[in-house]
Amino acid sequence: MSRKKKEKKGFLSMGGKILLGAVIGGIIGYMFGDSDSTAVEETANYFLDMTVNAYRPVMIIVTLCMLLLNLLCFFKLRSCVLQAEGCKDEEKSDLLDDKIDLISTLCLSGNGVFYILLFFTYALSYIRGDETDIMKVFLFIVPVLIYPTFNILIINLLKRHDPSKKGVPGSVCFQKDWMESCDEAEKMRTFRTSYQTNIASCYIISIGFCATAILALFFPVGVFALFITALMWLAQTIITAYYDIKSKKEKMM
Amino acid sequence: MPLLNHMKEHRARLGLNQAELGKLAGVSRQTISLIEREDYSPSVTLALKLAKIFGCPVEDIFEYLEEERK
Repeated sequence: MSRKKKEKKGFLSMGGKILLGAVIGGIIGYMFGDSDSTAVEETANYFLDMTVNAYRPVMIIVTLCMLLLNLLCFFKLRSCVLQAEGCKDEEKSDLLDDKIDLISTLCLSGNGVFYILLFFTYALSYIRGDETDIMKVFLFIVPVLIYPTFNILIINLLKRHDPSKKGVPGSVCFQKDWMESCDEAEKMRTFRTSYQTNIASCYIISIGFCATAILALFFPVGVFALFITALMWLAQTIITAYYDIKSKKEKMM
Repeated sequence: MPLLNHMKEHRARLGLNQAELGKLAGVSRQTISLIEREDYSPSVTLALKLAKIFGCPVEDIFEYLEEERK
């Protein structure tokens, strides 16, 4: 396909996506929309109050889900590592390696989501709740301890699978040591992932800032939300520029 | 990726498995597998290391093909 045709196809695809978004947004707006902004505010407040009132069950559910995810991932990972140890078939080894990568990534991302939910509920219970409850501190500490415990177990399994990997889980230098023990293909993959993550987070933060600025016109979003998103955007830009300049000064190999 | 390789043949000639070759070259088994599947082009350093292990010139292991493969 020629470049012009590709460009034309790209523009058409983008136009199609915008149109699709407009149609879906229109339908949702028609079905659930309310020109009165207080209705949206009231709904948001209702859900926030509901979360605050039920923070104990919410936190227990999050903790149980987190525990279940970590247990499942740990046992599945252990089974894959044990299978890989005695595996002579190279194709099967490749499949097992892919599985090991997938399970460890799933576990990490799942824990991230549960952490966000937990912190959000815990913070809400303080901001909106008026009671001093020792139980919520306990419900907060337990899941906070689950993650590092399983993290150590999972890293030890990954180190057993690939003994060349270095780094003590929990140490401040863990990520640096782990990265240094990776070979060139693993480093290349990590760099590619980081680059794509940087692009995606740049989009998300800039869109988040614009959305906060626009929403501030209609809802009492507050200056602090605008300030935080602006700060995140600024920090990301400065950090990217800093590492870009730093890496240009360093040797590539 | 227009880089064709004959790693599997050379590895079989020496009777090495991917893990053993990886150990000799100082990379993981997965990296050897990625190179063999032509999913990853090794650095010059690694290519030279592999050539030394196989005891042949690097051109015997890796072949650069122009656009014809596309």
